[in-house]
Amino acid sequence: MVKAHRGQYPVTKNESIADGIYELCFEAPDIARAANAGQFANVYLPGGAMLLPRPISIADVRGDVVTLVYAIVGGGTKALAGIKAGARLEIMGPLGTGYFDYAGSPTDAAPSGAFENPFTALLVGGGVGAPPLHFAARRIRAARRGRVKIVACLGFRGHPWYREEFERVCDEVLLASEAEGAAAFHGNVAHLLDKSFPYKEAGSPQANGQALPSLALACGPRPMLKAASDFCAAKNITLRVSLEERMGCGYGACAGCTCKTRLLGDVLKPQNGPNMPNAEGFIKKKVCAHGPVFWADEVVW
Amino acid sequence: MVKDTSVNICGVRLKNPILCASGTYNFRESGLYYDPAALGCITTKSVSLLPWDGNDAPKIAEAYGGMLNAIGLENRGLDAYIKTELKMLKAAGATVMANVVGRTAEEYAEVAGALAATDVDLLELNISCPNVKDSGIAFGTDPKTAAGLVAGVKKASGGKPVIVKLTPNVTDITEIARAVVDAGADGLSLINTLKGMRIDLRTKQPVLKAGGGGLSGPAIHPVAVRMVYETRRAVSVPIIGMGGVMTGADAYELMLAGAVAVAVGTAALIDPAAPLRILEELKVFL
Ligand SMILES: Cc1cc2nc3c(=O)[nH]c(=O)nc-3n(C[C@H](O)[C@H](O)[C@H](O)COP(=O)(O)OP(=O)(O)OC[C@H]3O[C@@H](n4cnc5c(N)ncnc54)[C@H](O)[C@@H]3O)c2cc1C
Ligand SMILES: Cc1cc2nc3c(=O)[nH]c(=O)nc-3n(C[C@H](O)[C@H](O)[C@H](O)COP(=O)(O)O)c2cc1C
Ligand code: FES
Repeated sequence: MVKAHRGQYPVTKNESIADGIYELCFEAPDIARAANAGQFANVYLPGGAMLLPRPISIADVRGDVVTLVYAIVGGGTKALAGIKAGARLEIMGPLGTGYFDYAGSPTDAAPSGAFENPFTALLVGGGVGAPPLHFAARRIRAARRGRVKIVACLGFRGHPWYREEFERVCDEVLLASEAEGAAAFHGNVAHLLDKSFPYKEAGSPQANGQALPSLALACGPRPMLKAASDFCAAKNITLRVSLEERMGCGYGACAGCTCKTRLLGDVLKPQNGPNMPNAEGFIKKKVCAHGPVFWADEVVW
Repeated sequence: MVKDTSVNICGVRLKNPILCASGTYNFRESGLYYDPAALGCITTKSVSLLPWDGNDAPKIAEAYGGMLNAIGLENRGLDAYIKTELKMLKAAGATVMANVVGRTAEEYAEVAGALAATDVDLLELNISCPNVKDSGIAFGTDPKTAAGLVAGVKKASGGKPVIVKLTPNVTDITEIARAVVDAGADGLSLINTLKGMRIDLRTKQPVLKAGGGGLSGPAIHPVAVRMVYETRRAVSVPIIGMGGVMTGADAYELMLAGAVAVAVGTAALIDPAAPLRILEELKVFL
């Protein structure tokens, strides 16, 4: 962990981009410089009644401006939606681990084996889990340019949003919606994955001639992450997932956010945090400080 | 000249009267935000003889002006504590109070005994945590049990000052205070969290997996002020006050009620550097 920045940052935009979904932009040169895809920011609400931070993933960084995309789900996000451009908002970030903060990752100056040559990256996202993957896609594209094919598989409850943003940086954007007729595919992301990648295992020939993804990144509700994890495990695709948990502090002080993980013992998959399993063989890790991004196979689902 | 703000607690000099509260400080992460030696004392997370797993998530819920936690005293056990957290904090020059829990009186005594042999400065007995079903609560709510526990720990702790942390979840806190002081407690700290619960309107189930949790934060500050005030009038040992301190003024109010020093918990979760800010604000009053 490195020290996060904190301040009262000026909000430059806070607008609805879809039904119940808001995009919040604020000017924070220090957070912008330090942020990696997969990391999050703690947003603190004014007033003192709602004390706890609202952890929101970083959805984009452009110059000094950081973007967060959030859904209104309760009192805090509702209050947040009422904040006008020009106001200042207490924010701390970037926090947690990112998708690419390990040696040999696709954005590393010296990427390891699979990422030196052209490779395919698969993004699996659901709802507000999609925007942070867009940030990840931009980072991979910037680092590997033409030597990567990026395929996004995104699911929405209603009408898909953020589509253009993904199309700008991805080679293929596959959309699913649980609302009939709202997207090309009716159903959830798990079904869309099965339909889009029918091949069985790494190395086996594919009907559509697509290269097998070397890496998959996922962000969204836990059942979706679990499905992505099963899918990738069956096909031998390396998957990194971003977990969510209720947080007391968001920076590692309270142990409020711990989840169960296991030791992998794989040099290509360096793990953060403690490495001593308990009596049951699990290692409890803090989602806020040792995550939120974990290897899918280290998570005890 | 810089004003001397040091205080003396049971023979240990704290360079100023602000501490961080148990369970809200972690050297690796909180240590990024300020020098632990800048505070009067760092109180570490409750430590047990063997590692405790704690509760399953959700372990955190919000309440108006406060928060509920049901961490379940998750900790990596005495050995790991002595070798890592304590060692790093002492190397950083911090004054350290080790907070101790156990499932039995013997376990408390064993942990306290092992810690007495280290360079830790103070021991704090968490006899009050309302989260763990089979421990804390029984010790902290019955004067006789509490006194027995403290007497056993005092015997094992070889002169290391023993502070007993009291629970507010009792009918009369002064009764417990007198009992533990009579049993040898060198000081008291109060208050721990208040029992509480939130229910999710959609699922109609408690938000916390454990059901209930402990309420902390500004919502409990007046409870802390009153309990410190009453306890001050019942016993003469030093009192460390805590509960909902968000500003220097809140801390000073607890001192006026009778606390020698004040610990900051929830405020440090909201802002890691809060204890330092509160110290600066408090200096205006001292
Ligand atoms: C690492 C991480 C990244 C996240 N990224 C995003 C994002 O990019 N966009 C987005 O819309 N949401 C994101 N979330 C979820 C977001 O934090 C919650 O939706 C938000 O805190 C709800 O606040 P509320 O006051 O509206 O809801 P309430 O239910 O009223 O909140 C009550 C308390 O519960 C907490 N809480 C409620 N739901 C969640 C949840 N799902 N996860 C964690 N804490 C919760 C709140 O923070 C608050 O402390 C993320 C969560 C985590 C842990
Ligand atoms: C997340 C959290 C964890 C805590 N863990 C412990 C603990 O391990 N041992 C203990 O004695 N008290 C623990 N406490 C209680 C605090 O030390 C303190 O007594 C209480 O929170 C009141 O102070 P505050 O309102 O400033 O937080 C914990 C409190 C919180 C919020
Ligand atoms: S939220 Fe406090 S440790 Fe993760």
